[in-house]
Amino acid sequence: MNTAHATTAVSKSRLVENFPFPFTADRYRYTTNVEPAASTVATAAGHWGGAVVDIDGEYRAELDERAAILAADPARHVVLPHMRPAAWDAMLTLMRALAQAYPDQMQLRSTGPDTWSWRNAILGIEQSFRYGDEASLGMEPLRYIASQVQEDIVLLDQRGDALYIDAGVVTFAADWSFGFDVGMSFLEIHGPVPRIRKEGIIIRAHEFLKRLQPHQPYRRTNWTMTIGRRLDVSTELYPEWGPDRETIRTVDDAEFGRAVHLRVEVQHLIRLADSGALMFLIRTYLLPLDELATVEAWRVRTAEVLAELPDDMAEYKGIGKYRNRAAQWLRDHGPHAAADNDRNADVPADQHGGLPSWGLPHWPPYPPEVDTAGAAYLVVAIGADVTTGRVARDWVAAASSAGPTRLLVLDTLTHDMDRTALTGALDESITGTRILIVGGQGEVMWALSVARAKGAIAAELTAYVVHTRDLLAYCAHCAQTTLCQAAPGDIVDCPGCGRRIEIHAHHSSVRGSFLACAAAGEESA
Amino acid sequence: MSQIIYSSVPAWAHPGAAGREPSAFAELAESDGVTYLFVVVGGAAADAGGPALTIPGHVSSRLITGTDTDGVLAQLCDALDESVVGVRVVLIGPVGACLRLRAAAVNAGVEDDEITVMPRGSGPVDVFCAHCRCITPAVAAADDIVKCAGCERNLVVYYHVSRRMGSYLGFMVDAEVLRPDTNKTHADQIGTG
Amino acid sequence: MTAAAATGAVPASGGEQLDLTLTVTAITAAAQGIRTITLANADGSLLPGFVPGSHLVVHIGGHANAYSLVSDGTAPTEYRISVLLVGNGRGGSRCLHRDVTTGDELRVSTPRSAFAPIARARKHLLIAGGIGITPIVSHLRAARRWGRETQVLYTFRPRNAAHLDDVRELTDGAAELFTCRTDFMTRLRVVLRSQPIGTHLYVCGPAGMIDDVLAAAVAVGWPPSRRHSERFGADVLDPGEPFRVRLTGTDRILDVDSGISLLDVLEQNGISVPNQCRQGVCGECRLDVCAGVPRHRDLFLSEQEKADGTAIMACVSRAQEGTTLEVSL
Repeated sequence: MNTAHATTAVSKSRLVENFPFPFTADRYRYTTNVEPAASTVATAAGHWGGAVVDIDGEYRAELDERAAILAADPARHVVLPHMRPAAWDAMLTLMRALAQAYPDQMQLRSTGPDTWSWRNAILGIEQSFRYGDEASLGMEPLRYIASQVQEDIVLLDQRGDALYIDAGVVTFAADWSFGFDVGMSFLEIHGPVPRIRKEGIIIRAHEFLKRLQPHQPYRRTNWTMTIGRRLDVSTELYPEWGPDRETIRTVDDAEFGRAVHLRVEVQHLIRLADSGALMFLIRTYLLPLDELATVEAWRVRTAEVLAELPDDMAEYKGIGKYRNRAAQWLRDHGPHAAADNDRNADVPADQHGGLPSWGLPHWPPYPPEVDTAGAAYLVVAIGADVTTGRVARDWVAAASSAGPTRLLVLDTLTHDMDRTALTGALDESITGTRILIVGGQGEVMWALSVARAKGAIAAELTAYVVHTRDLLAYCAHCAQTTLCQAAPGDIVDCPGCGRRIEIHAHHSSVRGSFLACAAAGEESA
Repeated sequence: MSQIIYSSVPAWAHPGAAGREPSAFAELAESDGVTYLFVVVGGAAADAGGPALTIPGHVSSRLITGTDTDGVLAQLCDALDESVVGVRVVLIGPVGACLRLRAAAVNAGVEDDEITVMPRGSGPVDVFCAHCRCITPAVAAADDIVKCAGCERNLVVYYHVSRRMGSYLGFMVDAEVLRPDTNKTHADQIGTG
Repeated sequence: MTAAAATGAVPASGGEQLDLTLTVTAITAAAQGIRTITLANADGSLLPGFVPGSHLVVHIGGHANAYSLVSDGTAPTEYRISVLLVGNGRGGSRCLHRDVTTGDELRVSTPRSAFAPIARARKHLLIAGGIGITPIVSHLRAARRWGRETQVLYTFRPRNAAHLDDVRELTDGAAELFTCRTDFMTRLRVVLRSQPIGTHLYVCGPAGMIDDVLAAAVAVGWPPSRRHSERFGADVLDPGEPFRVRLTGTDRILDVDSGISLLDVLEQNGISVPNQCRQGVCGECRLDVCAGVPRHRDLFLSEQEKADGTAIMACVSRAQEGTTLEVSL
């Protein structure tokens, strides 16, 4: 488990940056949500959708996984005999799409009538082939190209006013069986999905797809949730992953946030030019809740969607057993406690006073220099630590030569008298005053939050933490904030409600506190 | 169960369909084929065969009948091999047999508008195991539970029917029930896949 | 866009039509009154591929006419169309016959598929009448490429046989050619009675010939799923009966007389409707029908949509004489 997380940690930030966050409102219902493909969509954390095929940091890992799945279960690859032309058409279409999106690494050259040369520099592939000649490729063409794109591929034949799933390579199915569904019609396959038939959605989608013309690709997104970073949640392997839906109910919050993933499919719908078949590309993106929650707008919206989702839809998506907990988890794991959510919704993480607003705060390793552009200086030293005194003296010395400087020495903000002294000093500060705070982590975060509450902005605030032995814990149950000698992961008693609360590695820079919730077993006991 | 009406389960295979008297004679009378293949399976041959054989006089027909679905299926395939466009296929028998015969006809190139199905009598349906790909014949309907003849898992018969295979989809009914022998720790299961 | 409104968020067709500007690289006389025009990119680069049976809409002299592509649709570097000079047509064919010379540039739409083969068919029985051979030629090219079984019956007037050489070559001489309508129908009736299960019938040509072929097929038990036809070429739709149209948005009522299309009437009254081929093929001028019963004459809407009666292609389709059609405009 730890190994798995360590190896993927490097690419995690890119997973967030290019994650196709699917929710455009706080309420989700099925719609025929198609739009023209290949236009970039900006998200709260980055962007997605610039190309029909998307290669990311998981390229090799996912291709290896697909190869292993196909080796173990060849039925994930089916091309019914009449789909041979469509498979060739799909391969060439995908090669063109790759060459267009990644011109430096991928090239397709016409070398004569029906002969081509293909180069995929990422995988070190150089291949000449004759269109329609499997021997020249050494492999069935759909399988060939499926080993070079992260997308699952489904080909639909159109006949008799209907579409039939008659070919594909599907290794990353979300709770369906490609092997069983091969040969079925689009409408038959979607029969089990609640609501969509009754509401006419599937009929409209079907009509749209039948009329789709070549050279005008469309796309849509779909979503569900998956436990673990597991791409293959096919019906075939249900006995393997089914138990996760039960065990996930018993894990602690930290594990829940790591294990539960929002699973988004970007589906491209492409009419193949010379075979007339319809190609569905299904690209799967997985993002664990603890990463999703680092993007405030996503955290807030996903929580709303999950909490509101009707039961029949949740059941069909297979998330009925844990979607309420996922919603609550997201509500609990904001950059600060729930009360601040409204104010901070949609504010990107890096705008919270210049400090990262999630996980653990990042403190500078050395005392920062005094900004000599200040109109005046207020140095706040809290606590009796020798380092605190030394840093405060150095700051005062540097500040005095730049402008009027005041030193405020406090024992602890838990004392009313000291808090009053701090707010008083802040009230008296003129605009442009630089505020420099030094002390233990809990006191510094507390003082920073008081300064922010008084209107100080990030550029005016400097902080140095001499130790991280303490912190402010915000009890999610009674909203009491407590300064305690503890670290994230520790369990403490909440003086407000008496609960045993566990401190989470999520802090609010606005409140200056860490989120704490009832320790495992506490609520149900 | 209401969702079944939108599903891949043909209307004639819905629960209770076999009990309804088909309006087949009217359908046949106004049908537009020039030759008919009547395919009758099982005990249905005796009761249903009689009236169904009252074929309109202007069409030519051939009757294939038997109690063994495999044997009838092989005869149907041979007959279709020799048939020309203009033929209509009429399938009479238990739902499970009709699903298999329809699959054979469809795979031979017969179109939906050339097939009429009249479910009669009872018999097993094929249940395809999603996990081991074994097909288990069982007297069952959608939502019933069937033990897979291949992997011995208990399969729920899902209201999802493959026109190509003529079988219901079955998947493990109790995958989400934790058993002591398979109850691995959560960390074992997550992140290793 | 009215069509989008009818289906919620879903565009009615595959979206915006993409136009290409191509150079005429060759013009040959395919037969009397039939010109084959070859189009290519100026730099000879690849053109968008197309499905057999696709047509190209050519914009010329204020006209937009659809012509079947007769070339190979796989990774093409050229498009070829064969244009029959139509004396009483709307003028597009006249421009292509009289005004266009090699080296000219033409604006065309990307190819659109409306008469595609059935991939799963065991065999294609391809029946062509006159200029209706054009989509059949592209079917034959694809059939040869993929080893699909075909049988061809081609009937034409003696001096108007387009693509005879192509048809002979692509069928290895097996195509049956007719210049006598009676011989053709006699042979057709035999052929229709001897096709293996899985055969699909494709027929393209003048409306009367199509009707005869389809009637012969129905008589020997060919079901709707196996019958595919494309009315094409010389025939102009009959002028139709007069009817009225009520526009629900403005509550205006307009008369559509015999001989003028609903689309023309709307345009004459200052109401612009997206359109392109004006032949009931491209799907652009689809309107939502709120009341009244359309008489569909287009090749675009599906049978189900035609039966539903909730949409109409304004360029060719009409309503029963004396009735009023309500459209959401």
